[in-house]
Amino acid sequence: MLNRKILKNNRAQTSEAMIWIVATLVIIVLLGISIYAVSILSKKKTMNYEKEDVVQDIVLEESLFAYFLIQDSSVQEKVFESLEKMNQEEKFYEDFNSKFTQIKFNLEKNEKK
Amino acid sequence: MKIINKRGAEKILSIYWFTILIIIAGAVVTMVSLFYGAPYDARSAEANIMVNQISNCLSENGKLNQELFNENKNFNENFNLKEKCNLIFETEFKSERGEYFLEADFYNLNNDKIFSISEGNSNLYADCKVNPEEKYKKLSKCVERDFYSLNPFSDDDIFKIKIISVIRKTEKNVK
Repeated sequence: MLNRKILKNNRAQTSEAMIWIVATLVIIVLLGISIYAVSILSKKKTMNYEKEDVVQDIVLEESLFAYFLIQDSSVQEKVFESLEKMNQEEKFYEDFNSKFTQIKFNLEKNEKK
Repeated sequence: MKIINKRGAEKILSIYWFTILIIIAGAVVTMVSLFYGAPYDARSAEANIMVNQISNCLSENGKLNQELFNENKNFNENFNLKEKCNLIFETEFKSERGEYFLEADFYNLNNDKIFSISEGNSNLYADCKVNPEEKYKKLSKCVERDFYSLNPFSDDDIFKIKIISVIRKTEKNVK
């Protein structure tokens, strides 16, 4: 009778110890995964100038100012084609069409004054 | 006898919890130091800012800077890009090779190169030809941008200007 009780108690203790061991392993594995994820994230810390919301594309503005100053329509057409190609290749950091309209509007407004 | 056994179990448990606490605290410290210890790679942003500075200096409201031309209205070979565009190439790293390279190439509408000016360490330009994959991130960062600008003496003479901006500064930006 006593032997049976001791055996049962031993089994209960073993299963309890197993739970603790598994719980510890789970904690260690989770921490390991977190450290690995952080080390990957830390390597990707870059400042993406193109993706910043506040970017003003001075290079695009210069091109558009030059475009509107051209007198010869054939030259103007060639430049526009090239600018559109650059836009399709996503070489500008600002929206080409809205900047085009904005600069055109401002230049016309200044001409009227 | 039973009471003594219970106390022993409690002691073991508290040692266990203390060990777990130390492991978790250590992991948190490791994660924070890993993340905040890694530098931000700001070279691409810096290269873009330099492109803006150069384009602003070479062209104003769509017309090229008159200082780019000599008395005969030809391109001025002695144009000092660094001085005229207020560029400072000094860094905290005292490398003799230089950490920056800037080039501005002028093309006509037929895509013929007419004129070129450059400043800095031209050896860095070789890095731009390598595929910029993750494993090559210790190479210099390059930014190439094109824009149009008119000849200040003629409204139909337009140039396509290609600006190449290269920055090394690997020690400060890449771990």
